[in-house]
Amino acid sequence: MADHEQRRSAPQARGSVSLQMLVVLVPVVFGMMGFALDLGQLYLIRGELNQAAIAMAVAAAAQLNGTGAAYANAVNALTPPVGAGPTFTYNFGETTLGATGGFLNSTVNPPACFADAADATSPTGVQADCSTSQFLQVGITADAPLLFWSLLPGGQSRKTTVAAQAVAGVSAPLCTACNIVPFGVEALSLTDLVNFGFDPTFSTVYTLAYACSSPPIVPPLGGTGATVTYEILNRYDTANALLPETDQLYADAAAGVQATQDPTVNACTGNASTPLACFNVGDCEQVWASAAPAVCGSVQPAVTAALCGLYARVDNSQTPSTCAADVTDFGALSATYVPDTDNQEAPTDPYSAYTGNGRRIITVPIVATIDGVLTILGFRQFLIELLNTGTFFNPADSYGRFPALYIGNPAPLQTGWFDARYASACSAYLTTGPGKVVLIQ
Amino acid sequence: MTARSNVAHALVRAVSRLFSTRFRTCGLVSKTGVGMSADAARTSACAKSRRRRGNTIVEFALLMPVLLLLTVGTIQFGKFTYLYYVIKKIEFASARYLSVQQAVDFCNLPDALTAAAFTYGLTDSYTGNAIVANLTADQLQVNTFCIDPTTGAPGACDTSGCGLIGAQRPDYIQIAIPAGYQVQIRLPYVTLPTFDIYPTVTVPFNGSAL
Repeated sequence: MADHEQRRSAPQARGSVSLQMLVVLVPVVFGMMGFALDLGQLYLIRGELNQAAIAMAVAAAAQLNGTGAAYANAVNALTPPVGAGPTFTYNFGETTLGATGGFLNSTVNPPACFADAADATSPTGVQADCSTSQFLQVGITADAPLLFWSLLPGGQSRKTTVAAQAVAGVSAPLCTACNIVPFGVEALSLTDLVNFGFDPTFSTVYTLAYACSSPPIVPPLGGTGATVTYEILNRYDTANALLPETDQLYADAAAGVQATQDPTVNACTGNASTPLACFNVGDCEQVWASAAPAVCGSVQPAVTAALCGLYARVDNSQTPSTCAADVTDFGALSATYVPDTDNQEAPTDPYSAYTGNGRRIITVPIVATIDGVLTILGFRQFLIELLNTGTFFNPADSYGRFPALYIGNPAPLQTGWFDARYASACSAYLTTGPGKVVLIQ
Repeated sequence: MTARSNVAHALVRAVSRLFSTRFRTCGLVSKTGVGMSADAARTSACAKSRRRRGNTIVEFALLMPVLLLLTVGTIQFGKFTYLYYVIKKIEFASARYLSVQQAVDFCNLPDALTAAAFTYGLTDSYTGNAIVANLTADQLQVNTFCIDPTTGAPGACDTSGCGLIGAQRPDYIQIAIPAGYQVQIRLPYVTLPTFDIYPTVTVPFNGSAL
């Protein structure tokens, strides 16, 4: 009897099991599909936000130049409406990052600055003042749409928040610096490896004057601390058919040594494959042939051409007529290089008060003649100043003088290498110098 | 076309196999019975359950395409999301590569360096194969943006120096697919129209311009 009943009920039980299974399985199957769709989209959005955060962090970190305006400039490099930088999109490129008021809103947080990379990457890292920091973190939070999860409790708003962040900062000191101004400034001290004898408080305006071979001694410009000599290091690209020599001198001073695909012209370099626009720490250098030091008070026309380029960093409205005469394609070139946005600052102001876009900051190789060889000791930065009379310096000066504030190495460079790629063994001993912007995380 | 009819055939075969096994099981049960009257009762019960089972199977057969569509749709959506991100990643890799290069000739794009950047992004460094089929370097394009010194906003770069000192050094480079990348979502029994996606990536330019 029991056997009989069991046999009778078996098919019915099987039918009801499949019905129950269907009732249970449909939500499970739908849930799994929901997971797949929503998770896929969330990961995509997180990836897109990460890319945007990286781009913004790298752009903003380039503004960390040690001035009081660094924070405002870094914020300005972010995406609108926070800053004025480029726009980014996410969610298959459909939603603009930073937009509010729609269904999907997103917020770009103002950058947080940190004194070192460990603080910047640690969740408990202590923030620092952006005017002295070299590392910066950009965080983004953005709404991501939910399709299936919106059916679950907690997902009724049909969206969830996804966050992304990136940390960028200034690298180790560069061993090879590219596109800098080819003015080899003579070190005041060979034993001071941090400031090479220049004022460690960064408050002295020096008269930079072209090296010359015999007395009379170069008279310093008014209001400056001491006279420092410089030479133009040879980067004459003879293979450049378009730019004659004076044009190259002008452009190299106005925007840093111009990049080229031609190899270096420095015959005594330790690494012949160094790009022409780059300088290596510890490398031997040669003076630009047509700008060789002459009798004091009579600089070569080549020096004037270079100083006209330097002048383009501070002004383009009152350029002396000498420049048009000395530089072959002056008209075309001068239209390309715009002066600094902050060019009227008093020379007595400290560097931290500088608010410009970096045009007046020049990165130069610091050189010394060691055992008869002109050698690069490192790279340091100067801020071109007004004369104490409140006027711009005269590029046609017969001593090649201009006033510049020694500022150490606060501003990151655009290009270069901090490893021993071209400057052999340099990365092992170089402890101070400008770096370039690198992505930390 | 053949793939679709194969799927249909497989479906029909599976459903008919389902029917035949169920019937056979019922027949087997009736054969092992002992008494005549009990056997008759069992036969009617078998017929009833057979009918019920048949209903379930028909319901299942009706539900099957819907489930199939949902499953394939989910897979296709996942594939599309993945594809979109992979292309974006390719562009990002190329852009970051290009953004640290020396002497990029922005007056004559694409130059050798952009070509190298595209190859770097498009090629799987381990196998040497293309990461995404039908995406080639000539579909990618580099756009440049320069910061306005007064407002800080990105705009078009000055190319008036081309032929003399080269184009203005850009502050941002963007890699885009101007003609779009064609995507086809494949579902069983349905032919969906193709559509184009336009992933773009913008990164700061930290290299130097020729």
